[in-house]
Amino acid sequence: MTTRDDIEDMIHRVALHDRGAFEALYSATSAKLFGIILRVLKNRAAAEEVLQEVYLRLWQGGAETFATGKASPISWLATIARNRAIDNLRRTKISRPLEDAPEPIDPTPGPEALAVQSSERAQINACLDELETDRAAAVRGAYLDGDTYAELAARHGVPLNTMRTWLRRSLLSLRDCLSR
Amino acid sequence: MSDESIIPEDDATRDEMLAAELSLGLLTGDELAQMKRRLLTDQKFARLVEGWNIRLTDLTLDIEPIEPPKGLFKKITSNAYPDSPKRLWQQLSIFPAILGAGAAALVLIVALQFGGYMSPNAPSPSYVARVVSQDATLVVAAAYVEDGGRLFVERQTGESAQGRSFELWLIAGDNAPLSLGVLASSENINEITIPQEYRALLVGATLAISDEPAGGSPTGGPTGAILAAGEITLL
Repeated sequence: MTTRDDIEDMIHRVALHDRGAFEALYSATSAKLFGIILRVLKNRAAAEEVLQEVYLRLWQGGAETFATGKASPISWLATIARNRAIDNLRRTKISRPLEDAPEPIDPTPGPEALAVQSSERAQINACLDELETDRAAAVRGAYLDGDTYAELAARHGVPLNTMRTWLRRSLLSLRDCLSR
Repeated sequence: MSDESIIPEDDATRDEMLAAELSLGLLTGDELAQMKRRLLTDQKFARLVEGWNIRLTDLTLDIEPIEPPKGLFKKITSNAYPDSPKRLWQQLSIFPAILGAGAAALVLIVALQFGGYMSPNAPSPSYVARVVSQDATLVVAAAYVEDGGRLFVERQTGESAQGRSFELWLIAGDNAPLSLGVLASSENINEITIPQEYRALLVGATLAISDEPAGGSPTGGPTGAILAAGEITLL
């Protein structure tokens, strides 16, 4: 069973260029990160490229920037994967064929470390549920689809500044809800 | 874009919002540049951004893991590990320029000593080869490093047909072709260790590539068409 501590340890050893640790880290985390990247990009070829980039950068010094005790190692990796995917999306913002959308293959949950405590899952969703539906959708759209303020404003049919005010208010409510 | 008047807010709230927007990737232009700078210089602000990264990451909790394709880790390590065939080939980067020069011939095999030009840790190849089919749809370059008897083979153009493999042969004099192995279709660069007893045969011999069933010839000799071949000559 791979625990959070194991993954932290793997990241630290990857920083020291331990190949065994690199392979173990990849085995333990790549399916989760690939899932995230595919969710953002909805394109397999692009997602494979970003996944390679994520791990290559970890090996080439990225792992050294992991600070124990802040984010959980999985959150840290997930943030990197999501951000790289968004960067890629922005670089190549062209309409992507929908048929490339990922088929949900093999829903085998990854290692235990990646299994999510249901309370955590409930919390962010419960807090988003407290927002108006379209505002919750805007937060999700910005995070998971890389929507910009301009795109969100167009989609919701409101001026840009109004969109920004909405979203900022939603984020404050979200923060307050999560800290309750 | 200035909307401070819209939400009455103090500096702390404003920073909190900018941190959230930076984390989400919603900032643009000057504001983005400023906040990126601030992230590096202002620890308090960096902690706010980190806090948002952590909060928002929970949006990925519901996303199902999906196994990436099998060979992907190998692709990563072939870029990451300095002793991977790909990286070693890149260290031999003096060659592609030379190899690309005279592709008119069916096969051009060159033997060169480059010791003086190589960086201290880079392998020092003794012979290089460029194998080109008549119609140039198959272009393969190779470099032989005596240390360890390693032959690096780069498939520059051309793919084996579906369900077929390229097999590399060493033909010395009138001897039967000796298989050097199958070129992996998933890799552009293969590293092949030449058996000890073949090493002395290289100079003056021929490198050839044949079309074989997937996995290589079942007979030990070429069974399909020879796609490219030529004599190895010393310069």
